[in-house]
Amino acid sequence: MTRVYPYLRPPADVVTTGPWSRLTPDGSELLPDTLLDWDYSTTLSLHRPVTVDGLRLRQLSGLAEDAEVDLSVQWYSTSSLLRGQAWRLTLPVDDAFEAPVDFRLPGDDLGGTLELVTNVVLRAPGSGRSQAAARRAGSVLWSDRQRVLLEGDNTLFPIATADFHDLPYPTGAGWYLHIDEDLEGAALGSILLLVNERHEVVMRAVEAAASPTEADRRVLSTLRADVLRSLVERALTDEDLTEETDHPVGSLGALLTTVVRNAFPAFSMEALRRERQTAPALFSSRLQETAQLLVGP
Amino acid sequence: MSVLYPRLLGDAARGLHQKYLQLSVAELSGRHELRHPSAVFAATGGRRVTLDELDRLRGDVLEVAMRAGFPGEGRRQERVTFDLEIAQLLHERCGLVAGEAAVRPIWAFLALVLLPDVSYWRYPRPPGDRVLGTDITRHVWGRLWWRAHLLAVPQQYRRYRLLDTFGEAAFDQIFARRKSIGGSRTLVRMLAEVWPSIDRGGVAERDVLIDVLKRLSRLGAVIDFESLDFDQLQRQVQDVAAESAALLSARALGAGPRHAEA
Repeated sequence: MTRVYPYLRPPADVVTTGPWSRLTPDGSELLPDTLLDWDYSTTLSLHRPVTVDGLRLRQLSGLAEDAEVDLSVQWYSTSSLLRGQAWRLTLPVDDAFEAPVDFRLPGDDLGGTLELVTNVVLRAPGSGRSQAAARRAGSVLWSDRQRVLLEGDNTLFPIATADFHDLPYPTGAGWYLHIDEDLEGAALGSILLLVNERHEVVMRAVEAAASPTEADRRVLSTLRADVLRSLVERALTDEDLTEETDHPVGSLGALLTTVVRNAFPAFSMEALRRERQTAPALFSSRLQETAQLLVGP
Repeated sequence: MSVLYPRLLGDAARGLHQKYLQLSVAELSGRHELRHPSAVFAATGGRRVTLDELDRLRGDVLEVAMRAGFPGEGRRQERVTFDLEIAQLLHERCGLVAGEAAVRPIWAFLALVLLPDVSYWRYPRPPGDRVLGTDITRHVWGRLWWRAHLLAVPQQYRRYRLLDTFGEAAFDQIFARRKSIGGSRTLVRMLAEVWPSIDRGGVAERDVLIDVLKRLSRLGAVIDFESLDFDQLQRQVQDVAAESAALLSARALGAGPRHAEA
């Protein structure tokens, strides 16, 4: 959806940005889409090069040269729904001004998907501005957004082990994928893969997941395929879930939609629902194929 | 390091809730446990809470509850004080980070396993969302932790001084807008800072607050509140609140005669 701003905004090219990077013990690396090694105790050291035409920016926003303008970075977390400011710098009236963004972001308030929003904001409008120019402090003149999934699969599939004798699930089952009902709820906390401590074969494979034997690999492949099947089935049996529904980023609804889209990019949800009902065996085979059940290493 | 709490999943939580609705507070006191066979720890970062810590947490909550009249009915004001003290206690003592506190089944464990007697005393015959892990904004314990988290000021001195600014119903309005303005602690704290000084012109607090929140939400689409200095943010929130109170007050005055005619 395009946002309508009630004031003049400059063209996008008044700001030039480079990619986000993060500092690691081994040096600097481009910020990936997913941070597999993140947890709450991680402090991210993030940086990106930014160049701003401070004079052109003011002129094309209808602002006077004495207008005070800042470059700032805001963070937003989809699991905690919290937001805050990570970094800020006052922009001088110079074109081609280099403003290297550089800050540390503690993990306490984060989780799910992290959004990094780089903004150019008005701090004070100054004198002699155009009638169409922004006048309220904090007005966003330029903006750019990047998303990064924290924790990767660990977020989406927290795993716990339990004795199924104590749980309302079949005692002899290998695992149970718990999925909450609320599609708007954060994916983190909505899904939990429970592995039955009584099931020696499955437990051995899960514990050896970092360096599995050939037998463990087959078990893990079956488990992964079944997790995918459970998620796809959950999505298809919920009539409220459609491609058109706009679920919040990081929500269970958004996750399920993405899982189905990635698993079956050539099919609409409606087509999948129809096939699941009228040709369940074919649908089951299709799931095996997309999950790569017992395929490869 | 974050402390991880046991998660009581939906089926087990619903089963306990159905049973507990039939029991008295005294009977529920005998049902509390430090662990539950259906509760699981998720494998995310942090260390597991110990049984000793859970036991101490229960003891501390009971102490506050007894001051508020537990297990008797108590007065309404005592329950307000109970909520404020518990909000601070949970936030200071649980060792939770926000990401973990957003995981709803941990709150179901506290309500139904560790503190069933106090939970059903605070909300007698509660609807499910007060004790199950379905809605943090309504949960007997979860909403209090979040209230403290959103209103705690960054410095240590009188860190929780803003907790009692809004009543429960008023704070619910803010919390319900968690995805828009309720996620900005800077903005929520500022609203709490300026709220007592707003002249509401005789209009009910809740009405003004709802209108202010709507206005701030709309502004938030084009204003980066996080980027403002304390003074700038204070001025903007004050202006919005004053504008809202004046408008609602004028509307109420204008509506008076028409109502009288009718």
